[in-house]
Amino acid sequence: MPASAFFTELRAMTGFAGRFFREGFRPRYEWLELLNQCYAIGYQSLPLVGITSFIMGLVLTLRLRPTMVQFGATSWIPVMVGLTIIQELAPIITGLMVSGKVGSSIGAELGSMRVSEQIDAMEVSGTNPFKYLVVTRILAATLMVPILTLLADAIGLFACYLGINLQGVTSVALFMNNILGSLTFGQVLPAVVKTFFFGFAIGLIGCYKGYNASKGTQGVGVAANSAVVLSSLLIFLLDLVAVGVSTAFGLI
Amino acid sequence: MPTASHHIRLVLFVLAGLACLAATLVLLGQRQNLFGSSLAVQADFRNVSGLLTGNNVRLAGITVGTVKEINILNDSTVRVKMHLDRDVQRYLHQNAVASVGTDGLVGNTIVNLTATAAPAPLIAEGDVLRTTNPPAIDEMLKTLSVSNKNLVGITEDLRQITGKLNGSRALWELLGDQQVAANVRQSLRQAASATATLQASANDISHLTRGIRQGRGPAGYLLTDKEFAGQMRHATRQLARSSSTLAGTLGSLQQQVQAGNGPLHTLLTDTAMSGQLRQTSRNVEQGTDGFNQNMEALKHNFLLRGYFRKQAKKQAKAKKEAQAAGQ
Repeated sequence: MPASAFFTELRAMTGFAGRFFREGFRPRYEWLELLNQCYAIGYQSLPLVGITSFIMGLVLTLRLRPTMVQFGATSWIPVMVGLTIIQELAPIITGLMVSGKVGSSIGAELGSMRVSEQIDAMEVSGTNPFKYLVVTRILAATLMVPILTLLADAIGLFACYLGINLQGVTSVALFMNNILGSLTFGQVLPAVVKTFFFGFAIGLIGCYKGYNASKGTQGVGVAANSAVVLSSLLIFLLDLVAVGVSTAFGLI
Repeated sequence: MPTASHHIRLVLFVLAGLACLAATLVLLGQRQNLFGSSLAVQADFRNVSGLLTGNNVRLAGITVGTVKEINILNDSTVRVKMHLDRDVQRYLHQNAVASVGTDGLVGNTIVNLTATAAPAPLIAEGDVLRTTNPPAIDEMLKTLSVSNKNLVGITEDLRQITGKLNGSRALWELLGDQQVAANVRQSLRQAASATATLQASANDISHLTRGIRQGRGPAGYLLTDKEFAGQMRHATRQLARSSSTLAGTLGSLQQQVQAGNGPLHTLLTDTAMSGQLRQTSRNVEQGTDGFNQNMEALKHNFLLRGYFRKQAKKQAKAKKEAQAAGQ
């Protein structure tokens, strides 16, 4: 039955997350592995995230311009693009890109370790594989996605600035004043906070799918694929929840 | 695999991201005056037209603070609490007027603070500012439609007036006449000289009144000398005393007249006395009559006759000389 299968899966995933919180904050900590994962998840995703957010900032500005010219509101382009990038576009793009790049790699990596029985070997040899493999990856994803999002904000706004200067002229000071003048903490903080949840979701789904892979090499592919699909979907769901919560708190 | 250079790059990457966040938060905080100490003031509005917490407060068009709290006090009062920059306290007085406006035609709702010209103490923490309701657009449009109707009537009348003016020959002659201008100039010049004269008279009058006030001249002396008033009072007092004495004298005289013992009463009221008086005077008349006859007889006496003749002759001579001088 699909419904019961869904709930079984959900329960298993919740149990996996609970295990992360139980084991993750107890010594001993795998600091070096955490740094390595941060490097792999954060730093190595930066070019991808940077390029996509640069292109999105530029394209959004150029696409928006004709409409804004019709309204005679070209001075509002920085505000509109800035709000769009900071509130939605940069978190979503970063989340999707990281889930595509990192979620699949985590799923494939852990999945292949599972099917080649390396995880079982670690358990036998006395290393806690959950701590070493899962906790470090989830923590790294949770910490790195917000940083990537902030850099994506900066790159996207820079692209917007370039896009405006392609067809018109504006100064950096005026551009920043325009954006900051219409920005509030209620818009910035939810956008930053929700990216932690995005990162957590990406790491959790990737690790869960890989850690629980089965059925040989085919299972590795299934794990990688379903990790990407599920984490992308979850990012959008979390975004929906974030907008609901921030509206309920009056931060919009 | 894991090297030190990786870690350095990772640290730089994280620092760059955190720097972006920090810069955004600090810049936003500066704008919303979160880190500086703020000055809380309030204003009661009847209608805040969609004002939200966090909207800007402007003084003379400069953003000086934000709206912190909006509460409904009762069905016609909304209390808005604002946090202003401390630096602005020096420029804001207690009689400043707050009004709700918009940033541009369709922009954010804002609170405008407007200074009033009258002097007032500087604003302090917790003061409640006066408010005005800015004109609503629909009401302006309503008024505008009435004004437009009036304008149509006015312009129609104006067209008729200009038509009539154009058709009037007398007016154009008046306007074209050079003589009129000269006359007007002449009249104006005379008016100017008249006013100059008037000015001089006014000056004189003011001079006079100043003199009087300072006690110069007889009028001034009369009006300003204090001793004169004292003397006047003294004189009138004396007069009053004399008149009272006179009244007393008259009273005693009247008493005497009426009392009956005095000679005056006898003179005025005794009828027998008057009869005797009349008899006496008749006797005197008869006596003088007799005396007259005696004197006439004496004239013809020889002793005195010569003197009278001489007298008559002298008289006739003087008469004759007077007649000769008249001719």
